[in-house]
Amino acid sequence: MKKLVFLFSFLVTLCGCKGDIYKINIYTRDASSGTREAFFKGIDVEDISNDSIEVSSNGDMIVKVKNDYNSIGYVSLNEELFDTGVSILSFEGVFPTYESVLDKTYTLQRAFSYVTRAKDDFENEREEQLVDAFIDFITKSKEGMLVIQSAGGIVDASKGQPWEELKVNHPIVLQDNSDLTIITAGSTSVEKTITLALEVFKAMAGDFNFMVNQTGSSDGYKRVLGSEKDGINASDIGFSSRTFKKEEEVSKGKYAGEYCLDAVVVIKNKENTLTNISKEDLFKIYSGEITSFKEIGN
Amino acid sequence: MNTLNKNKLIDSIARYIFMAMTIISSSFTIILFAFLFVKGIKPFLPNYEYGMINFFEFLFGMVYRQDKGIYGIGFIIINTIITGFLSLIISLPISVLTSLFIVKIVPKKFGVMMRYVVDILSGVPSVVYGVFASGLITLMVKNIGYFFGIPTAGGNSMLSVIILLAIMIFPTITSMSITAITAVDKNLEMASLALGATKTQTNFKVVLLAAKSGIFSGAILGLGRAYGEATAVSMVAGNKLYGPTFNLFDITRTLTSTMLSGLKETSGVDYDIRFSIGLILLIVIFGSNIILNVAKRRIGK
Amino acid sequence: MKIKDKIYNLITYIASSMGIIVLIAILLFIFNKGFNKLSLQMIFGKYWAVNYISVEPIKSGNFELTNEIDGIYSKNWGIALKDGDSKNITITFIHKDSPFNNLIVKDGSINLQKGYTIEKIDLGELSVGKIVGNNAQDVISTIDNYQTIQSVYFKSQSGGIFGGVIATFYLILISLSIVLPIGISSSIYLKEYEKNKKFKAILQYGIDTLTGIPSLVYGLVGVTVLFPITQLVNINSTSILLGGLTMSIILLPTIIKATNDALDNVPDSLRQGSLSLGATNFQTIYKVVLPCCINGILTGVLLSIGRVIGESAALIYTMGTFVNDAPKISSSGSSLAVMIYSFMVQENPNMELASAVSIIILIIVMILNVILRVFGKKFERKLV
Repeated sequence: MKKLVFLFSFLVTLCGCKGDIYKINIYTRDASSGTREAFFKGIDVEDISNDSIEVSSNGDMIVKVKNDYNSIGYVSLNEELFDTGVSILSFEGVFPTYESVLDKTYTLQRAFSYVTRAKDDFENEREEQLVDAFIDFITKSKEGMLVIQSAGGIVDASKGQPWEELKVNHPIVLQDNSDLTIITAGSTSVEKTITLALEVFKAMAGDFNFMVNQTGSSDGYKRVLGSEKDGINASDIGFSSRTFKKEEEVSKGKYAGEYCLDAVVVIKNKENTLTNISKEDLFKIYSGEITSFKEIGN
Repeated sequence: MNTLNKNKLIDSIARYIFMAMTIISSSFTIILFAFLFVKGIKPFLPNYEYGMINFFEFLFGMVYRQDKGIYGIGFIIINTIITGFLSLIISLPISVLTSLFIVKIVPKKFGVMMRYVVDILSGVPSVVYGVFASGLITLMVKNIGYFFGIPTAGGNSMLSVIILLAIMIFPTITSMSITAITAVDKNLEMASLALGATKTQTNFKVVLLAAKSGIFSGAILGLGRAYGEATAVSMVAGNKLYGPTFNLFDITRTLTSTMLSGLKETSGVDYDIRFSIGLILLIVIFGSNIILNVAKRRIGK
Repeated sequence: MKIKDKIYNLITYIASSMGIIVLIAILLFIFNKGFNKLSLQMIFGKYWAVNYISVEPIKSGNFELTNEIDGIYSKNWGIALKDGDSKNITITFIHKDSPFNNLIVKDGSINLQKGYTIEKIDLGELSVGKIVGNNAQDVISTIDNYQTIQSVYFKSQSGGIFGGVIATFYLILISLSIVLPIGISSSIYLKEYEKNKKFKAILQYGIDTLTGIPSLVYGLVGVTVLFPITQLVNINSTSILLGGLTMSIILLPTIIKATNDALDNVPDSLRQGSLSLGATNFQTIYKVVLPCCINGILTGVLLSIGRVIGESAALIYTMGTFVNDAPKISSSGSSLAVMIYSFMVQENPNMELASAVSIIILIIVMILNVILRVFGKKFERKLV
C-alpha cells in the first residue's frame, strides 16, 4: 500500500514538470544508412544532436513519424510514401516530385551509379554479353526504367526505348542462360531497385541466376575493378549510392554511369501545419540549435 | 554369473555417461561466462584491432554514439535498473494480490480459470507482447502525455517500457507467489481465525507474512526477467543517445535494446561491443540477485 | 473493522482483475489487427512471390458471365482484375474456360490463380500492366481490343508463412532431440546416483543458474561457442541447426526440472523392491523408475515446445531474420516468432501480418496449456 502511495506521488511529481508541446523530436537513421549519409551531406550537418531518436529502417521511420505529433525525419522518396499517412515538406521551397528531382530543382538528392568489370575480364563471353544486355535494360529500355521506378528509383521513363527494339542487339537473351550467374556488389541502398530489375530481367533473358550481394558503397569498385576483383567476392557489377570517388578509376570498367536518382524527403506528422523548410533551419534542427517548432514560425 | 557381470558393467558405464551429461549441462554456465568474458573484454585491451576503448569511459560514459565511436553505457545501466525496479513496483502488489485471490478468496473452479489466465500470459511470446506494446501501450501513453501537456515521441517512452515489463513479469511473480501461499501452514491460519481475526485480516497479516520468502524469490526472478527482456522492449524504448532518463515520458535505452540495435553489423566495434554489454547485463542481473538475496535474509530474520 | 476489510478485499479484486483485463486486451488487439489476414493461403503459402512469364501466345474468346463478381471483368478474356495494395493489379476471378487458365511457362503449364498479380501483358505492339504504370481498368480496356496476347508476366501470391512453420518444426525437433537425452540423464544422475551432497549442490547450482540468464545472452553465446560446432559439419553462416543447439541449452533447466519433479514423485518403495529383487541400479531406473516418469517428462516436453515457439531474442542472432520459404536445417530461416520481429522491423513494417502470426502462436500456446492441464491431472491421479 505504501508503495502504491509512493508511486502515485512519484507520478504526480513527474507530471508536474510539463514539457514544451512544440518540442521537436528529431528522428534519424542508424549510422550505416546511405540515406542518412546523403541527407547529412545535403544539409551540411556533420555532427547530429544527441537529442535525436535512432530508427532502424525507412519503414520504422515512417511509422514513428506518423505516430508522433512533434516529429521530423527523412526517408528516401518512393511512390508509396504518399499513401503512408506522413506529410512531406518542401525543401527550400521546392516540393519533391519526380519532375523536380529530374530537373534538379529539388536539391536533396543523390545518384545511384554502377560500374562493370573491364572489357574481356568476365568469366566467359556469354556472361559479358548478358551483363551488356542488363545494363542496356536498366539504362535504356522503357521497361527497365519503369521497374526501377516502381522500386523507388527516379528515372525519366519517357526517354526509354521499348525493350523489343533493344533486344535485337542482344541475341544472348534468347538463349537458355540458366548456367550463368550475375553477381552484384556495393551499396545497400540500391538493393531494392537492383533486385527487382534482375528479377524481371531474369524472366526475360533466359532464366539466368543472380546474387545481390550488397555490403556498402566502398565495396562496389573494389570487387569489380579494384583489389578484390579476383577474390572470393569477385562481382560483375558494382554499385554505389554516391558518385564514384576520384581514386576509383571507373573508366577502366566496360560500362560506368548513373542509372537512377534518389531523393531524400523530409517528413513530419500530418497534424503539423509546417509546409516548407529551409536548409538552414534543417541544419539548426539536426545540430540541436533549434529545439522547438515555435522557432521556425509554427 | 556372466550376465550378472555384464549387468554390473552396464550399470557402471551408465553411471559414467549420466555423470558426464550432468557435468556438461552444469558447466554450460561456466563456459558461457568464460566465453562472454573473453569476447566482452576484447575491446578494452590495448591490442584491439579497431582501436582500444577506455573501459572507464565505457562503464561510466553518459553518451552512446556509435556513429562517432563513443560507447558510454553508464546511463544505459541506470536506465535498465530504473525501468526494471519501477516495473517490479507496479507488478509486485498486483501479482501478490492476484495469487492471494486465486488461492484463498475465490471458489476453486474460478481459481483454476484464473490460473489458466496466468499460464497463458506466461506463455505469450515476448514478440507478441512487443506487437501489443507498440500498437496499444504506446498509444495509451501518448494520449496520457497529451492530457498532461507532455510531448512524447509517439508514445515510445520509459513509461511504455515500464508498463510492458510490468505486464511481462506479472505471470512469473504470480505463479511463484501462488506456490508460496499454497505452502503456508493451514494451522497458522486456523490459529489466527480462532483468535478472532477476520478472514481478510488473516489473509493479509498472517498468510502473506508467512509466504513472504517465496514471494520475494518470485520478485527476484521477475526482476531478472525484466532486465533481460529484449525484443519487446526494443520495440518501444526509442533508443535515446544520452541519459540517464528520469522523465517517464521521455524515450530511454536499455542494455538489451542496445544489444539488438544495428543487427546487420557482423564485425567491427559495433559487433564486439555487444558482448561487452551482454557481460554487463549479466553482472547487473546477478548483482541485483545477490543484493536482493541478502536483503531477503535480513528481512527473513 | 469491517470497512477496512472491505477496502482490502476491493483492492484485491481490482488487482486480480488486471491479469484478465490485460489478456483480453492483448487478444482483442491482436485479433482486431490480424484476423483479416488470417487464411489457409497465408498459413500454407510462400512469403516471397514467384515470377512467371508465359512463352506461348493465347487467343481471346467469349466468356459471358451472368452473376456479379468482384473487380473489373473482361468478357473476351474471362478474367477479372482489381487494384490491390501498393499499386498491384490483383486477379479476383478467372472464368473456367479462360485462356489464362492454361498458360505455357518455361517448365510446363500453369494455372493463373486468384490472388496472383499481373505485372505485364505483352500485346505485340505494346505492353500493359503494373510495371508500365497502368491500373486494372487500363489493363482490361486495352486487352479487350486485342485478339492475341503474346506473353503474360505475373507473380504468385506472397505473404505466406509456411517457411516459418517448417523452420519452427525443425527447431523443435533439433532442440528436443539434443536436450532430452542430456537433460534426462542429468536429472537421473542428480537424483538417483550422486550421493555426495556438496558436489550435487554445485552441479545443481550450475544448472539453476542457466534459468536466470536472458535469452539474448544465449544468442550471443550461441554465435561464439556453438558456431564452431556447426562449422564442423560445414555450415558457415547462421542456421537452423545453430538455433536448435542454442535452444537446447535454454531448455536444459526446464527438462531437468520436469524430470526431477517426476522422479521425486516415484515412491522409494518401488526402487527398493526392484533392488531387493537383484536388479542393478541401472535396470531399476530403466525398467521401473523411468516408465513412471513418462508423464512428467512429457510435461517438460510440452513446456519446451511452448518455449521454442515463443523464443525470439536468442534466435535472431543464431538463425538470422531472413524469411526463408524453403528452410533447411543447414540454412538460415526464421521461426514464427522471429518472423513477427522481422515483419515489425523490416523496411515496410507490416503490423497486420505480424498480428496474424501472433494469433497463430497464441492459439498454439493455448492448446499447449490445455494439454498440459490434462496431463497434469492424469499425472496426479496416477501417483496419488
